[in-house]
Amino acid sequence: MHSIFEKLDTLLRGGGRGAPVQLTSASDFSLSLALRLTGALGGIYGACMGLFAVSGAAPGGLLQVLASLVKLPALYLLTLLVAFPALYVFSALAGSPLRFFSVLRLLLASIVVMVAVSASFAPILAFFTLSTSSYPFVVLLNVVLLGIAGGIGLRFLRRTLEQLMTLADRAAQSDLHFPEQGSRSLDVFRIWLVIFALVGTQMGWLLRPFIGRPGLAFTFFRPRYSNVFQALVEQLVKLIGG
Amino acid sequence: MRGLERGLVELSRGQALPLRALFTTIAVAGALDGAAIGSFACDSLDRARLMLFAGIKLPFLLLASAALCLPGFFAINAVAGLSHVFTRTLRAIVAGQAALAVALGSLSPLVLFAYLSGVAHASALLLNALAFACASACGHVVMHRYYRVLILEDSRHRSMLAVWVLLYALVGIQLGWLLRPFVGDPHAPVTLFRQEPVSNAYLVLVQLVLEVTR
Repeated sequence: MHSIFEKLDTLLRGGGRGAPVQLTSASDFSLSLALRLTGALGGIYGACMGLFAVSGAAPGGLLQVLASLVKLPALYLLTLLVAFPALYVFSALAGSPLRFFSVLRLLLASIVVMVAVSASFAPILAFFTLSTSSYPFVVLLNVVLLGIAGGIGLRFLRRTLEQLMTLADRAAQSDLHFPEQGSRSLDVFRIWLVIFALVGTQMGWLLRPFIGRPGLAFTFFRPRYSNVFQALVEQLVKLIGG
Repeated sequence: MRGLERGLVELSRGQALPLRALFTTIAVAGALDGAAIGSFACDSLDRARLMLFAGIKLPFLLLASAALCLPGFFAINAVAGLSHVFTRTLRAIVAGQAALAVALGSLSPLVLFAYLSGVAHASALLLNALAFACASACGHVVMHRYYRVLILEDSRHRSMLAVWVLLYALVGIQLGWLLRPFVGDPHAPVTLFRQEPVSNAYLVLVQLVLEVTR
């Protein structure tokens, strides 16, 4: 337990400063450890999200807590499952020096950073969730907290990759046949970060509800209706049109 | 997994891979890509037939387009006095196709996720066109890597590469048009080919442009 905490601590310290420690701390994480940490830390935040249904005495409130506990880590892992093959194949064809499990381990490490930051916000979320009855406020608070956690995780990933690619660039410069490969694979990673964010947003929409709207009975999933971006545009049009 | 990884590294560096392995990659990856594309609105066993049809048609589209272009391309190479390295040229072309198929396969989870999110038929068509464009660009980059050494040996190979891209696009677009549907309109019956007279993709495009601008 102590050693797991120590590894997580090293990972987070590297993520904050962008220090070279990232290169070793990310690779110290085994796949199973990263998965367990994602499940545990994501579960903590997810359970706090679901607390709103309990505080509002909605029917099936406890079920919402359990569902969110499972769905939040699933949100991150399923997003990775959908977006990872494209990243791996395109970066490998662009000449990335990273191998399959190295890329996967690095991505899982950045997800651990995301869920660790979000779990650290869990007491704040629980406090507001239990002390407010405004559903829109809780939704907005979750968007902000998860947005901050996601931003920090993606920044960690970008910095780590930039460091790796700088090393690869130096190695590639000595290879006269493929001088541009390092920088090209970094471009692939940059585009992929956008795809990952888009898929993650839509995945969150598909896995709703996480919080549980007051007055609605508990359901594990809401019926499929448009996509998150269409829904956002519709909301915006409603807002402008009154 | 190790085999795929080694194959991708060799493709990315333009290293010589056996033609048989490249053809197998196109056939297997192409079939899986096709099945994924054809799974749009797959809610019954009848609609699942479209996955099978598209799974057969996609590798056929890739290989038949290349097969139709190769004789003419060989003749142009021969006239330019470049036929003595045609085996290497062929490897570059097939490697590009294999990279296209694998890249398209890696985009399949994204396409399937969009299907699962309930995108409309028009959006599904657009998304697949975008995925195909990305995978084609990827295939072109890999083919160029294989061609790089040839171009260093004789700069006329650069023009030959441009000729191939033009020929392949010309034939590929028409063959793709003839082999429709791949995505499948959810309101139309499942068929192997469209039940309409054979038409020319380019003429249809010109007619569409004329109709829009009239």
